[in-house]
Amino acid sequence: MYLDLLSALEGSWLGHTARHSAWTFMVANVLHVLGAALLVGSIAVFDVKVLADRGQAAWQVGRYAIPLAAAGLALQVPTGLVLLAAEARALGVNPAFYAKLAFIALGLANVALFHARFGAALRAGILPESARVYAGWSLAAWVLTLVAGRMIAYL
Amino acid sequence: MRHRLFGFCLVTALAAGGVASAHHGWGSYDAARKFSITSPVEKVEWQNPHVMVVVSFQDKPWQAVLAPPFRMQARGLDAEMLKSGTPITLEGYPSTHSGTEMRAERLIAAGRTYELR
Repeated sequence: MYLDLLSALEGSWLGHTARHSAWTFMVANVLHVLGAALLVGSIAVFDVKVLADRGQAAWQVGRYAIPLAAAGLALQVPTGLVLLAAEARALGVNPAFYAKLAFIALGLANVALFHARFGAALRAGILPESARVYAGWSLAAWVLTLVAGRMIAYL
Repeated sequence: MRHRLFGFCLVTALAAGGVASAHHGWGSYDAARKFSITSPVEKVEWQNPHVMVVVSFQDKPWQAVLAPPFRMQARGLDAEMLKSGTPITLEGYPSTHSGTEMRAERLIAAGRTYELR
């Protein structure tokens, strides 16, 4: 099922374009690095702010860092699909790729839980100290996503 | 806590790498065993992430991984220059995972040398 999906992606128009257009792949590659920098960089600043100041005044950083991180994520999904489509059958079963997907799932679950639990408090400027554990998981999940992603080329 | 998790994941990823069948990147080629192949091109796949040619070495077909198409173009190579039958020389390194694969860092075609790294 999963392998069929990878084959379909690789055989699709997107896969074909990713392999045969020098520009498409190069642009996707460049933007995937930019997206990673925006996502991991911005969210790390926010996480460190929450951790270091125990949730105090977190929104002063979050109001800039969170939209930037979201913009980074929005870049990562389509560019990542192009890069994956070029050789989906090989990349899709790479151990580093599995690890990357797991860290993304962890990161997204953490974002959802954090915002469900603390979204209103964050915006009201009263983020409690108990939010720090989410910041810790966030920092770990997104840094490891980037590390695992880069490791795909080496495994 | 986070540091321990990071360490655990990194070690796991590295350990998994030992058993993974590798693909591309210079890491999975043996830099200590540089060699060269002179052969006509048997087949070329001009595509991302790396252009690949099949050449003959010691009576066996070898896959040679070249540079990405964008870099190939930037260094003055195109698919037409590597079409089947064209004699070329490749200098590079054998794969540590496959007995008939090399990564080329230099290509000589029609008397001209192209750096692929």
